[in-house]
Amino acid sequence: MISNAWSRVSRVFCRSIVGAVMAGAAGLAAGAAEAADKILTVGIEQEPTGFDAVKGRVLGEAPASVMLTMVDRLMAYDADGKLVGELAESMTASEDGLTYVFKLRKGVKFHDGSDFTADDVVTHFNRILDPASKYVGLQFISPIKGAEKVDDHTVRFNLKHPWQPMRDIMSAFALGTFIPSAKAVAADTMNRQPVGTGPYRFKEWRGGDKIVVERNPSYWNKDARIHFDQIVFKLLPDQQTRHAALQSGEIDVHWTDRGHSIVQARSDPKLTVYSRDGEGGGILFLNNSKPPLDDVRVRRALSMAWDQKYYVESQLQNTQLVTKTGFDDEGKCDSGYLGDGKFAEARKLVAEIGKPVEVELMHTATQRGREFGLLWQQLAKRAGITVKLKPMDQLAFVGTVFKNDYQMAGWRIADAGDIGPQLFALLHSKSPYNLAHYKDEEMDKLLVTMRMAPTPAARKTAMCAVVRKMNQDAPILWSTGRTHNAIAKKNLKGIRPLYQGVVDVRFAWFE
Amino acid sequence: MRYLGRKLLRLAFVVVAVTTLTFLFVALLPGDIALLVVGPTASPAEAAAVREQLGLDRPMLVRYGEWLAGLVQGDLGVSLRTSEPVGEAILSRLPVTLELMLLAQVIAVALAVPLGVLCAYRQNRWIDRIVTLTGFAMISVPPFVMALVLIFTVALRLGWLPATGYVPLSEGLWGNLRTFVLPALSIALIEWVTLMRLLRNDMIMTLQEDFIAMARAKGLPAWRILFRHALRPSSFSLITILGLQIGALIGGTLIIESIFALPGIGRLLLTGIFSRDYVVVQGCILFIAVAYVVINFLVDLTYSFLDPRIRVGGRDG
Repeated sequence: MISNAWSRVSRVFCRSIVGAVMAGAAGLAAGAAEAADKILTVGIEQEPTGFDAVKGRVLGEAPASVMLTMVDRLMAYDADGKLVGELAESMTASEDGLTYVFKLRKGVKFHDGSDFTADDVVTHFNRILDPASKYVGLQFISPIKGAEKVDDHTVRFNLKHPWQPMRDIMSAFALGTFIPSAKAVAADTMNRQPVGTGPYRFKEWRGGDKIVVERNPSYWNKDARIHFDQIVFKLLPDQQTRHAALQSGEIDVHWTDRGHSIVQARSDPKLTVYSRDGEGGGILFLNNSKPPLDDVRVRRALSMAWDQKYYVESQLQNTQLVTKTGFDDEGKCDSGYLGDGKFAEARKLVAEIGKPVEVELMHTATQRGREFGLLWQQLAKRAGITVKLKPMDQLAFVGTVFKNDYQMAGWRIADAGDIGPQLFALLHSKSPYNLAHYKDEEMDKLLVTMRMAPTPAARKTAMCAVVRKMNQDAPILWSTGRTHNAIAKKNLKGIRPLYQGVVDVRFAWFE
Repeated sequence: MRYLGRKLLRLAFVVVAVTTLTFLFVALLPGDIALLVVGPTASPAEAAAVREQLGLDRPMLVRYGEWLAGLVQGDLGVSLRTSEPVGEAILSRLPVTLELMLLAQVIAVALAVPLGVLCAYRQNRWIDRIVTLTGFAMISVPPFVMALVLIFTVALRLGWLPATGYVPLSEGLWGNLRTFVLPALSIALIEWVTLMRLLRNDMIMTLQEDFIAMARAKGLPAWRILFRHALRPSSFSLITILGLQIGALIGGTLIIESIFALPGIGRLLLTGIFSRDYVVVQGCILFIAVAYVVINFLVDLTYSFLDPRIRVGGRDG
């Protein structure tokens, strides 16, 4: 009897222990799941070079995702695509378009506790506009003469001439448009320990590994819902590694341009693909200073031979846009685009030249670069043009283009909201960035007209004229348009549209 | 002391030779970091301005001399790309590489020693042949292929372990070890073969020695004879190769670190090379060269521990 009682007690005791362990484990798992819900992990392909506009120099799409969580801009596009004030409550342009006045929000504090005032904006912009600072993006904001303080919460920007992109430039994703703490800049800590006014504040930057930001409890926008305690930006440069990390659950979202991953993710019930057509795209320089490309007939023949649609279908799995203008012309622009595989017409032009046409195409020594080159060879052959391929390492590639030691080379026009400044830089005969060495007086006039256009509609009309001339003279060809893609776990919501390809996770949440 | 002095002299020579060659090779690579730093929208003039800012327009000898002068004062310079001090960058990444190396070697030795002993004991029997065949098959697989196979099967298909990433020890031992299992296995599953074969061959010779016959005659059990008496004198080649492997792994982990996204010295070096950040490359190569020499020095010292008959400097035992 004693042994029966003992065995009953033992059984009850054992069951209690097991039950407690299971409850504990369930509690731990629930706690772990809840803790996991409070941390968002974003895979980024590139580590920032820094967060100071002058020292950091360049901000790519991936580092912009990081910057966006910590540092605000004066203006921004909201979830519905409307340009709204962020650190600015309003933006007003003068009638002559030469001054823009920004009324700043009151009561905003930087992460270090200091107040955000007009001094921060003025100090920042005058620093990057000063040629002595050697701010890398200066040429793209060169129409801005300077910024001046009107009062503690009002800033006036003075322009050299009317400039429509001013409306968009304050919402761009460039180091120069994010407003840093003047104190942090003066203390020379902004570059590695950024201080801003954003919904998250800097916590840790482990070089080569990750950047961690944590919730900012004093964020100025009380209507905004900040769902995560931390966002971890994990550096995963290799695209396949990033995608594997997403599939295995180690990260929650990442940006990609690989057609295979995007197509596979679209059929994966656990993933969502976010896509947005942007401006700009991949381009090809045809070096106007090197024969035979100094002959417009050769350039036109190459333009006719290129079949962008086929390229996007066969090599990019239809995950990129086909473009004839590089901007959203709403279908109203007669682009003069010559492409889409008009081989017969191309051969006629080549026949007019009367001698064999041979050109060299420089491409990056990557799989995508090689495929691009091989496609060009085949298409050009059908037009009667021989294309030789020259693969090259990325850095050597850029250096070779800068030294003008090439005939054809791929490049890109970044999606900066308004591609006008880039078109001006690439096509104006006096621009130091005219890497195709194209000189045309008529084009120079069209570019100036575009730059000085008084209204957005006039600017689009002028831009259309620029692009039409570019397509007809073919110093630059459109190789593909721009579609931005990001892949996320299905239950991750609230990712904003991919403006300029930047993955905005500030207000995302797990469902 | 003379021995130590000779070793230090050798170290200094290695440092100068290796860093000079590295500097030369990086300088000869086409392209420069200024192009990466300015980004794709900069003009040639802006690239030239950045090149000047970074001091890349100065002669190679001048830049190397400055770097050496900084080195003598303990300053390895600052990354041209990220402005991070190189010394700090290496120190912060060292634990990752060290842990990967040590875990890989521990696994390799844990596989090699029992299998090597077993194969020596059962020389030319079926177990010896199977282990040898398996080993040759594994050693033919490049480490990056092994890594990808492990990621695909263990991480993606089975979901047992993470495919990428790093959890520092401060955030939990279990989490930390989980992130190192696959990377360490990618290395160990290839390295164990060489160690096993060396040990097997040396042990076969040792098992023919008189003292082993004496031990058998005394009736000692087989395991005791193998592990207590035969293993130690058979370990010299194993230790030597282990030391060489560890030294080689310090820089050789870069492919594995890249695939598994581990923020170690190998990946730092790789990023430095691709971005032509010569300051980072110099610092990493210097560190790897010094570590290699030091590890081999420690291997030499281990011999006298293993075999008291060996004395450094020619004294009698």
